[in-house]
Amino acid sequence: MKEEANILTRYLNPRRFKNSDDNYREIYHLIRIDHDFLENEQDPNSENVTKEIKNSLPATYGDNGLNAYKRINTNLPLVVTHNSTSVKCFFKREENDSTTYLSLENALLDNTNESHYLPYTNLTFIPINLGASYYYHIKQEQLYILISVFPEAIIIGQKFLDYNPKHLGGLTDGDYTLNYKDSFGFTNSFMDKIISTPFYWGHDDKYRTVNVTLNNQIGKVHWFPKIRKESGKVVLYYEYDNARNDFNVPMAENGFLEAAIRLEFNYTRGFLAFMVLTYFINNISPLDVLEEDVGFRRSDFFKKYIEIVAESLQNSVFTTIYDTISTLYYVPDEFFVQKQALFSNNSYSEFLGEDFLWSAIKRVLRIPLSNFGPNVEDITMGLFETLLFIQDYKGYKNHKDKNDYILNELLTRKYNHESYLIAFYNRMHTYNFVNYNYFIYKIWRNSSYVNPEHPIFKNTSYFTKLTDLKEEEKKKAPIMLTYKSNKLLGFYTSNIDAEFNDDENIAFTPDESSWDEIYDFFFNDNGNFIKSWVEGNWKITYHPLHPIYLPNPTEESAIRVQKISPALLIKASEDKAFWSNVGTAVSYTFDVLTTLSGFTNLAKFRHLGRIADAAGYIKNGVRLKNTFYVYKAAKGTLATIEISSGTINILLRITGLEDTPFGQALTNFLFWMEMLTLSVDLYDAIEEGLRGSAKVLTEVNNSEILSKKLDEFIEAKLIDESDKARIVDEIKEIAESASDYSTILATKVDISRDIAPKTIKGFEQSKKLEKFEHGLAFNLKTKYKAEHTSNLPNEIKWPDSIIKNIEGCIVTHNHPKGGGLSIEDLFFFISNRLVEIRAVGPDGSVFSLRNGKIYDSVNDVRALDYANNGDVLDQKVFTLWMQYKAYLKTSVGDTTRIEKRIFNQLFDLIKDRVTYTHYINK
Amino acid sequence: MNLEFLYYQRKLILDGFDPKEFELGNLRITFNEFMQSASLSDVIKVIINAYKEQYAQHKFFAVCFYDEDTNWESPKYPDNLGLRTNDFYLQKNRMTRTDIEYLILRILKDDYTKTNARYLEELELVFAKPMYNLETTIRESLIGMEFTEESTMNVKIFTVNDSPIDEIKISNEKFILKINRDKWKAYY
Repeated sequence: MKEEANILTRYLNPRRFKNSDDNYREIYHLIRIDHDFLENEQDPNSENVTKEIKNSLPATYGDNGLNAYKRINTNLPLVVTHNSTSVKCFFKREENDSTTYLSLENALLDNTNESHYLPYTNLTFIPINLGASYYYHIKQEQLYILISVFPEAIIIGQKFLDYNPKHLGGLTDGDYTLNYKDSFGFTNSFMDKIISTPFYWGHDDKYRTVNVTLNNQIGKVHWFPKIRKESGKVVLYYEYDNARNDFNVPMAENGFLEAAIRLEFNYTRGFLAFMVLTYFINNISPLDVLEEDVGFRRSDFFKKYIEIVAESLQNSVFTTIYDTISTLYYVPDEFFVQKQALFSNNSYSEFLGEDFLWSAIKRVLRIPLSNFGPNVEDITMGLFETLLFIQDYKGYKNHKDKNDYILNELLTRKYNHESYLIAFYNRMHTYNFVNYNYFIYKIWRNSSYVNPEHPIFKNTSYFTKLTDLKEEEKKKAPIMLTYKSNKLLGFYTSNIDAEFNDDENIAFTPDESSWDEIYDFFFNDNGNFIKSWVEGNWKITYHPLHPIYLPNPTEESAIRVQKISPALLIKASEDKAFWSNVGTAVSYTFDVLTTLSGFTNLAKFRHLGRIADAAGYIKNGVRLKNTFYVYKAAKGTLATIEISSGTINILLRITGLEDTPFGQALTNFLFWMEMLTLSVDLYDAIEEGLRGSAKVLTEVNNSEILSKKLDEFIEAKLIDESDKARIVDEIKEIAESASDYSTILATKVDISRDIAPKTIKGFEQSKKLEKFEHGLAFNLKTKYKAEHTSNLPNEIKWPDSIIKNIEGCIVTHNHPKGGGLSIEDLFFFISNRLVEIRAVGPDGSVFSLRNGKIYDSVNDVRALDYANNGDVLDQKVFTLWMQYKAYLKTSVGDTTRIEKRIFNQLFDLIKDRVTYTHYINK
Repeated sequence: MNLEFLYYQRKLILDGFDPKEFELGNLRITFNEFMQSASLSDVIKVIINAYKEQYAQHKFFAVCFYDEDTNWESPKYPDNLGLRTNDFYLQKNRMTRTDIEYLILRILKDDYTKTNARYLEELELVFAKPMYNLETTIRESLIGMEFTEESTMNVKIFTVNDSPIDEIKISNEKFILKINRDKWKAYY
């Protein structure tokens, strides 16, 4: 990894001495103890001494590789040895009339002890008299001494940079990276709004790379550099101030005067980040150029910057919206303030105004919003905030007009017949769903829409009583709603159902949610208070911005509603509650799919549907190229799940099979896909659910139905054979990665290499398709053999007679549902001191856990030594077993995650002494 | 203390579990906690009580002092203690207690053509520091049993009649419990 160049952004900050609050703050100098230092008579103020100037102490805590320095904790005086090639540092100790020295290398050890203090009588030491605050620069492998200096003593002026290449803490010519991940204090910039979630360009640090060239000439340098574009790269030249230096600046090869510092950015993004770090976070705004006393250098500098931003935005219009938002990320808000003098004569002004923001917002609507990859959602929220911000410069008389303007635009601008207001409501998935709704609430509460007499409500908001057959006449919508919600054991319940109707108004009806029933089922105590609240057969239709007065807004709603809320906020609370309940249900680990039968219609898969839309509709003969990977690299899981939007698009179109086992399996699969796209924080559960359901889809009967269905699509020329193959492959791939926690630990080996006795293999092949578990114990040495089944699908209770002979046996059995060895199998293996335990699945593949691990290189076999360690191992296993059973006893429903944890612990215990194999047909 | 689990023959169940064993597991946890924290004389009382009327499974005594934070694999057994293949040895640095130097269980493994079981012949506890007045503890523990006492130089021997305990030998340094083979019961 390249070294960081953030020292440079601090050094080049024109305001670094200008912070009025810090007039009396000491400036810290880190002086490098090297050849130059000794040659210059140990004078820290000498121009030839390498130093780093900081206004805070160097960070040394943590060990994340980001800190340059390690503090050396000693107060002993420093002495050095010096010859033509090196300077070596020692700390001198005088005690009881004897003098010993601790070398720097030993001082850096974590466990320095008495034996490290040595007399070194053959060395000649030079004392260093600069204080005893030592810092070791880890990458440079050099010792620095920290001294503090009052700023007044060193500042000659602020009009120019007092340049000395040695004051960059040893920075030399070469490539460096800018670290802006842990930056802080961003103000007045676009970045500020989204800084709470770090935005990564990708893992490649090429964007962050800056090539640095430093001139050896010490001198006064202009604070603001010249910017040139050279071969597509942005290059900054910090030039010497000719009038203030007493030397003539030589000419460089390119005909310009030589610069003190040359910075070359391979990518515009890196340059933009540099601008944020060096200028914008230090409150130096490009708009300052409008101030009177700004010189032409500064003005030219920012004009050029604006040009580069505009050019980058212009280019992005022709590439992707991702490029646009990636640029916008680093642009300060001020850029979008329209009609600034700065832009008046600028041909790029169209890229810097409000219209550009609206067009960017429109383009965002065409892509799936998510925070996978670039944080599109976060940045979109930033765009809205910026839009609001620039309204302040449009001369509105009051806030209301400004807010009205935004809301009007959101209501009238349409994308695919949806207003922006609702389009973004439907597209925000993560925490930004809440942020967006609060954003709308924030501007709404100070807008004219808060008035129920607003003309827009006249035809959109009304109350109707419903009879069995028809809606009764429309009456004026009530302002007060007895909305009541509650949260019990993680489940939200309320007395209202809220759904959008076709014209984007929201219909409120008495609650018919089945959450109450679910809640009742598991906790037997809903108290009927929710149900009893609202009775009757009515419907109120509200415009999304219609005000609703809630006499007692509760805190127990999924989104905190306000006393006076727009209808949309209540709808949001209800929607959030639905998904939150799904999440809670999953975290309670019962089978949501069975419980939610009332919900599992495809219409509910609204997020998924949108992803499918991203791929565009499939048209006759047009192959899908736009592949959006729904999910990649789940946190904390081993494998990756990828599925293309094209596949989802087709799966969503398979209808008419809802009541069949296949339809159920498909619905389950789509349900888990939906959960995935919602990125509910239940990675393991989702992954297991998804894989499990994919597996069911690939079972013989179901895969035949899928194949037939896909043939229908082919016949209708919606897809072709290769699309079909890809769809089947993708599902199969997910199913095959459906490795349970056990399977993934087994090494796959061709079944021909299985050396099990014929008795065992024969038994396995004869029982592999049995619906009940059958077991065989066989001892190779004693020839003991016993077979048993309890006629149960997942358990074998062996007769007491067998226990006497079980030790040392190979035990095999069939797993009717397939899958790796279970946690119970492992317990059984250890507590019965088996030679091997095996399980055969319906596909004929066999899992085997064998005592003994072979280390091939030396044919060294290490096995469990039952004779000496059996009892102790048994105790360890017992403790895990008791934990496991206790967990099982107290948990509800699906316990996979618990099992996984215990299984891994158990396996870890013995993995170096056993061989776990999955024998398959390769 | 309820020591029922010492005498329970577990069931052989694959892909499932024996509810009784789980229930008794809680007793085993309590037992281990007691054996790791009680005074040494109380520990000895429990051992005697466990065996005086009914032959118990020795595996629970093998690990009742074991410190689960240590590796389950034992270092090589010392050569000078006359340990055989099936004997069990646990030294101080693998125990949570500090007052026991080591524990030895001398085990007989029966032939597979016969019972194929492991039986305890002798349990030996060697103290880290000398223990005095153990006789009283032994006598109290053997209340209700018929036994005789015999003293040699430093060793006191209690011989018990009609009990799984054959004899108990104590000195200031160690405690040895010898099992009566006639009372052996096969556990698996």
